[in-house]
Amino acid sequence: MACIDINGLTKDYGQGHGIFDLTLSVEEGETFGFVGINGAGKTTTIRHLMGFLNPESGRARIRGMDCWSEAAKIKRLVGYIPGEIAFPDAETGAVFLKRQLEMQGSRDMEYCKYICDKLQLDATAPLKRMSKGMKQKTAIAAAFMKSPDILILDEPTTGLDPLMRDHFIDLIKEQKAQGHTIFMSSHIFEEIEVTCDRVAMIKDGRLVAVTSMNDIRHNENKTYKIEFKDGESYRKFMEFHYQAACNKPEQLQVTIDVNDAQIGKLMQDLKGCNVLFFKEVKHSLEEYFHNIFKEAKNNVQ
Amino acid sequence: MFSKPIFKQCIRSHGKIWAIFTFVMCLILSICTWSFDAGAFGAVANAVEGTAFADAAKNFTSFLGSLESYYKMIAVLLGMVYVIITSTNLVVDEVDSGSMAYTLSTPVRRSSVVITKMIFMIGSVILMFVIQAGVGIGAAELFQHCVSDTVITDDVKDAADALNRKESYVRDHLYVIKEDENALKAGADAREMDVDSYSLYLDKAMLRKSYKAAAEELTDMREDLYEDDDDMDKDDIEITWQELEADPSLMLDCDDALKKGAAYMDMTATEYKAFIMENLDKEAEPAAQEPAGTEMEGEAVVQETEDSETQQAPGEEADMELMFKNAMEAAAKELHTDTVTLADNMLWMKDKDAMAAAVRSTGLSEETLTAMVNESMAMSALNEDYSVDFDMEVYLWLNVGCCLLILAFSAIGFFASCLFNRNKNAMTIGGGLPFAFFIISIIVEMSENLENLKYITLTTLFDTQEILALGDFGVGLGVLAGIAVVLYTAGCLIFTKKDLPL
Repeated sequence: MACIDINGLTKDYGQGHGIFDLTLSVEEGETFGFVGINGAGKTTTIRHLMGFLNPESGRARIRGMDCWSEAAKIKRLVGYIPGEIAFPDAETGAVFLKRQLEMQGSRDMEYCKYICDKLQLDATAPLKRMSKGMKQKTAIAAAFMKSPDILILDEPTTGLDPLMRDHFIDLIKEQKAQGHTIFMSSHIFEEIEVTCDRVAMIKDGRLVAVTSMNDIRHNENKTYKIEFKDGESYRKFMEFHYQAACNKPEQLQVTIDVNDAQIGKLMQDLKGCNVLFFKEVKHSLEEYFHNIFKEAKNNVQ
Repeated sequence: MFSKPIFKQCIRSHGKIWAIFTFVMCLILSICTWSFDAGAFGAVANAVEGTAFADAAKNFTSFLGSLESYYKMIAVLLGMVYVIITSTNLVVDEVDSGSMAYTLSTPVRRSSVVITKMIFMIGSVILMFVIQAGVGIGAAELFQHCVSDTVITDDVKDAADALNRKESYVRDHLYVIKEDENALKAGADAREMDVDSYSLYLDKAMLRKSYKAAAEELTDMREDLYEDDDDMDKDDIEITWQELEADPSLMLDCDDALKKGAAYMDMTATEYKAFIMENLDKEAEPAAQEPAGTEMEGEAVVQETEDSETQQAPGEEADMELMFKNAMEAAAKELHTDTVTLADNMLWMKDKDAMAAAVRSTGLSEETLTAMVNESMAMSALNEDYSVDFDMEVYLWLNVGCCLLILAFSAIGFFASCLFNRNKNAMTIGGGLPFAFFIISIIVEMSENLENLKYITLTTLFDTQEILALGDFGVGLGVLAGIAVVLYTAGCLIFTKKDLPL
């Protein structure tokens, strides 16, 4: 059975806001990315998972338990980072973390200390005077400190510097290695790319696509960038009529899309040309994302 | 249903403001208690006695009356501000800021969260009033010595000094003052009276004390008598000293009561009985009434006391009052002062010129007028003692009533706090409504034209006048409690069922 199961989830806030008939499932042990522009409905979906919102129709389940009616039970398994940082009234980060742990029925600060070290967080600082990054680190520590089976993270890296983001990605990978399920929303593609097994895209409250990252990484259509030593070679290559994604005649450079089946022919064709360099351009999630949105737009028009 | 960590958090974040409000309330209450001046009351109460203002003046300036104004205004205002701030902070603030998300990301039920917060809110208000009641009683005892019935007035102190006796002994045996010239003089000076009027006061005070003791004994006896009788209310069984004073014949058949009463008068029970009978005869003569007190049981007692009250105050007495008023006016003129100041300083009436003027103006003899002055001064002193009378039942009901009103306000605030997701909306309803109620209650007090407004404010359900009279205030308090129960329940239900924008 799927770990997180969202089925026909609908919440209509009017004027096109909300989420509509959302269906997706996350397998046990999977790291699942959830991307979309601001206001697409990412946070609304997560609020349903956390039992803050009661769905109008459809339902969300975690390990077979209803997210609304059995919310308290589910929280035993779940660590959560809210999208907005607003801590309850507590003097220092350490006090806050200790209290959160107590509410989860535990007093074991050992793992919490490990996480704080990993994030280079000094939790003894007063909460009110913390920078945005420090607050975010505190929120991360609060979610991770019980090493929960399921992590639900709403834009977990906002406010973190790039270096810290890498540490965070290490943490995610660690959790993943322990077999924990992670549901993470973000609009930073790189971190999704390196951590997630599958990605769902949401636009205007509707699910646009669910893709496996492997499919993006190991796409049969590959893109190559080639630069030639002289104009003659360039012109000669252009006569083969490859599908050019980008063409820069003045630099004698061309970018082409080639299916894996055609790679032998390409090699043959290049033999007769004077090539300065030849490299594969990696497909990124961002690109994929842009393409999907372009398609969606064209379909509407 | 109850979460200890959340409760601890409530205490940590709201304990300070609770402590501040409780402290300020107790401080103001102590100041009210401390600054109450019994002497000033006695004069005013005496000046308006028999007039339409008598009842009002009693509440305004008696000790419990001054506490009533505290509970009606200051305690309500401070309590209201506390519950508005706290109820908003407890729920809607955490939802609006989003910090509730952290609480709800742990395995606590929403119902546990809101019920724990409700328990904190209710508990803090109740504890606030329990402490306040305790401090009030403590201050009353400390500053006015009126709780444990150990009032040792200044005259008793000075007289005890003169007699070289223990103060408490002199208090319980006032006649020893009368027996010693020096003590009498010292006591009179302390009361700012002359010896004549002071000994008249002592007679009255002794009599009153004896009535009190006898009434207590009678009540005890009747309690045993009617122990198994369900038809008899506590009020029906109890005989107050006022009832006994109005109809002393009630105790004639009870030897124990007579004995108790006699002790205060330096008499034996038989002498005391004869003394009472004599008084009764004197009273019965001019009115030519049938001798009262043949029946002694049940409701008949209450009825009789009412009867005798209405039958008193024949025309003659009113005439005398008018005469005395004229005498005071004349004397005041002679002394170049006004009657109010003179009422405060009755001793001036005994001034030769003033007395002569009074005699001229009224045509009464000097003896009669002197007797009237003495009577007036003695009554004034007696009223002074009475003014600090501390009725524990009234005081506790004042606390319970005020507490229930504040709980009803807190329920409005808590309900709004649970209903809304935005802080300012909750503040508008949860803070605005109680505040409006409070303002309306002030307007109703000030203007008779707007009296009908009292039907739209909750504050009238806490009827302090009725509580002072130990009258019919239960229904109002019941409604307040009902409002609190309904709104707290509704608030909790809404919070567990609503969408949270976290």
